[in-house]
Amino acid sequence: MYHISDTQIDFILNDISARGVEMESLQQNLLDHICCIIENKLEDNGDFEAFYRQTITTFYKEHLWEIEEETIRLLIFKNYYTMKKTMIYSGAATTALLLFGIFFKFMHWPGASAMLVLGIFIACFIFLPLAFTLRIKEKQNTRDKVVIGIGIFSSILLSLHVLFKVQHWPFANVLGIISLIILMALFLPAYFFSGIRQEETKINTIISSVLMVIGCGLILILMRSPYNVRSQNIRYTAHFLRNEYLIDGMLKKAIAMNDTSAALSMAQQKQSAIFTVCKSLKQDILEGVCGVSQFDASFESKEDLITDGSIKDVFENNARVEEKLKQLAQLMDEYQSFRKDAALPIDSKKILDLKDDRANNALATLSQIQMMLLQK
Amino acid sequence: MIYSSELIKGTLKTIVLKLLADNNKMYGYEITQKVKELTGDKIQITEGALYPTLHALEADELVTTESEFIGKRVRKYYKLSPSGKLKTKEKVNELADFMNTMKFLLDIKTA
Repeated sequence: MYHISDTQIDFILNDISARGVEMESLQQNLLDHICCIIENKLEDNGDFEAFYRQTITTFYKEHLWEIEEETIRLLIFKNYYTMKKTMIYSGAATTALLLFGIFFKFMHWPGASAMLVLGIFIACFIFLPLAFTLRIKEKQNTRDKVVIGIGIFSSILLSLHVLFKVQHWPFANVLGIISLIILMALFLPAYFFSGIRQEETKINTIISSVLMVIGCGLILILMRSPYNVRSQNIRYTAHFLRNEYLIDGMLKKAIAMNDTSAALSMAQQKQSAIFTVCKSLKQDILEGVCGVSQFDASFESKEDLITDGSIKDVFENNARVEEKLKQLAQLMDEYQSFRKDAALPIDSKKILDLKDDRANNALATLSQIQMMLLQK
Repeated sequence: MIYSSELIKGTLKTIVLKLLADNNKMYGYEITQKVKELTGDKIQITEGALYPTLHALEADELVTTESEFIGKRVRKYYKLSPSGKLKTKEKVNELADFMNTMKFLLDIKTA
């Protein structure tokens, strides 16, 4: 039996790795295998190097790395099935969650937004990345791979845009615009021109491209243009300011008419408390949503505009503001127990719903409450 | 007569699994020698087919491995896992069934 020295082992290992086998466990397997052959077949005083060179050639047809290639192919093949299965299941889950989510949303049942968020998450982070990995394996040339990559990436961005939009998360519009630009300016031309060249994919490419243009077009139609948004906001702000002037005027008149020295009745006290809470809530909303608490006639040039953004955050981030809302509801109840004849423009039970409202609506409601009180 | 590599390819997994079932733990070279010995040199498993298969079996968790240092080199022993034992039975039965079908299909008369 031939005895292999440590230097010879290093020599074999280096040679295996020089021949392109990189997986460590495969290197070790082959090393042991060759050593076994040498130990069993080579005479004690045999020529190690010549025997090794001859033996290693029996391991392959053209190159030693064919063994590693075959190993990787088998391993990927195994993952391929798991990945495909996961892709199909996640695709089914996304579809089901979105369908039910949309249905629940229409019916105003609870759980709708949880389903939609989960559905879009699965689509963005499981289904689409897997679809990408599997599709690029099927494609041979780099161009097709890049086209698929861009397509999937923009789809992920677009889905996230919708998710951010419905959840009122920040940067929703930025995401939407970036994804549409990538989709229309980068993906569509690349996809169209690479697909149209081959006879067998020509028709499908044209149909899919047209569908994509229609889809993006519909999304863009639904999107409000910045110009539109601004003029809308100007109207909201002007509306709010007119209400403020009316309230101011009515208040001055009421003060002039009242005898300030006389003690206020209970109803009047409540009235005045409600008035103050409304005023302070309006300021909280204005500060929270628009960043300013005072508006004047030059709002347009200063770009101090009231939007129709959700005011949920104003209440969620500030317990004190939420407390004011509860206080308002309670005061309104008390006031109405003194003045049964005086109807307020909003039911006190519904006051708490205000925190889910949009800024312009909530401000108008609060102003209306003040005006009603001033009329009594 | 040495069988063609196409014939061996489809049955290699089964051969390796069955050998491991009968011999507890084995390393690569040992497997090739054992097959040679049992078949009277008729079946010779190449390194290029054996190691990819062993790695695939390991990835499928049908076999487990144990490493042993022999001087400076590492010897990897392969051993059936519980799921590998089940799979061996399944694969051997499948092959037996396949051989019967082939006999019928090719109309081979056994003596």
